Amino acid sequence: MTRVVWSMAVVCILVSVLGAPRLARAQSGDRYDLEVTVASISDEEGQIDPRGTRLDGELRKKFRYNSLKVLETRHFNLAMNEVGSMKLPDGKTFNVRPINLGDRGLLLALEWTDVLMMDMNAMSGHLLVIGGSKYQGNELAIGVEPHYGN
Amino acid sequence: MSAADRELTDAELRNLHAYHDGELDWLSRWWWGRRIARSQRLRHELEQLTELGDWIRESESERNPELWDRIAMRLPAIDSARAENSGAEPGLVPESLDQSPGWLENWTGFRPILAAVATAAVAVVVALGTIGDVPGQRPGAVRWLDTGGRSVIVLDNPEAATIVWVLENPVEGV
Repeated sequence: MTRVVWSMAVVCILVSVLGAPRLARAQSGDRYDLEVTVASISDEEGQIDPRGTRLDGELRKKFRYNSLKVLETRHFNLAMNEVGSMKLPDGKTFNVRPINLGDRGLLLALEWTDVLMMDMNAMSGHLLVIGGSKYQGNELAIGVEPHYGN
Repeated sequence: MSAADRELTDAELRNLHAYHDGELDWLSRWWWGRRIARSQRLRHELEQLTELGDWIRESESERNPELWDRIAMRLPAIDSARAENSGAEPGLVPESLDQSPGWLENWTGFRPILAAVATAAVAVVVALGTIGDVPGQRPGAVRWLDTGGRSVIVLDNPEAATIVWVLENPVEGV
């Protein structure tokens, strides 16, 4: 009887310690929202597209340019290890895949064909900007913003 | 079919791969480390994963150089991630303890002590308010990056955004 009681106590404690974070993640949903914004930035005089306000806010801190135009926005709702893919104006493809959710955020695998491949952790709402590919004389920039845990 | 003979479930395989790739948080890694130490089946699977990774690194396969190169290029990132997590393992069961499967069950005299230790651990965790947080870790961290040899600028602001900008170098005469 004593063995049974102690066994149950240990199991209960371990389940509460180990299960709580996993339960929290399960409650947040098994799918992850990713907002992808594709924009063209240029030295030519022009306006900042209102749809790219946040993108512009971050890029302007580091780069100098005169105009930003949002070419495309996509909303992905991906399960873990599900690939979201979109064609870019420059003919290349952008792929994104959630790999793991941990304490450092959502681990994402990203690929911009012929430009770069990368893995990075991002907390919900953290903006990732990838850029540098040329398109019609301008620079292409892709903003990726995950949202989860709501 | 005994527990040792049964096939691993999808969840077990997934977690085993995550364990191998260093993608588990420290608590899960500790838990799976214990399970692996106690299960010959899990250890065998883990050894196969490790051998596969080693083979890929050493491989000079010409069958599909692009595919194998892309896989091989990602392995250093997995190694570094595994190295990051290995330093935070709080209590991996040493291999010597797997000589007797079910050693925990045989050590009945230590059960109350184990329960007390576990309770104390829970109390510490609750007091600190964190599970798995490692001081100094930041969101928005780039873990691995491949730009095909092109120069790149990485600007990482944990409060707002991470910017990765590839500098395309024009190549002439090629």
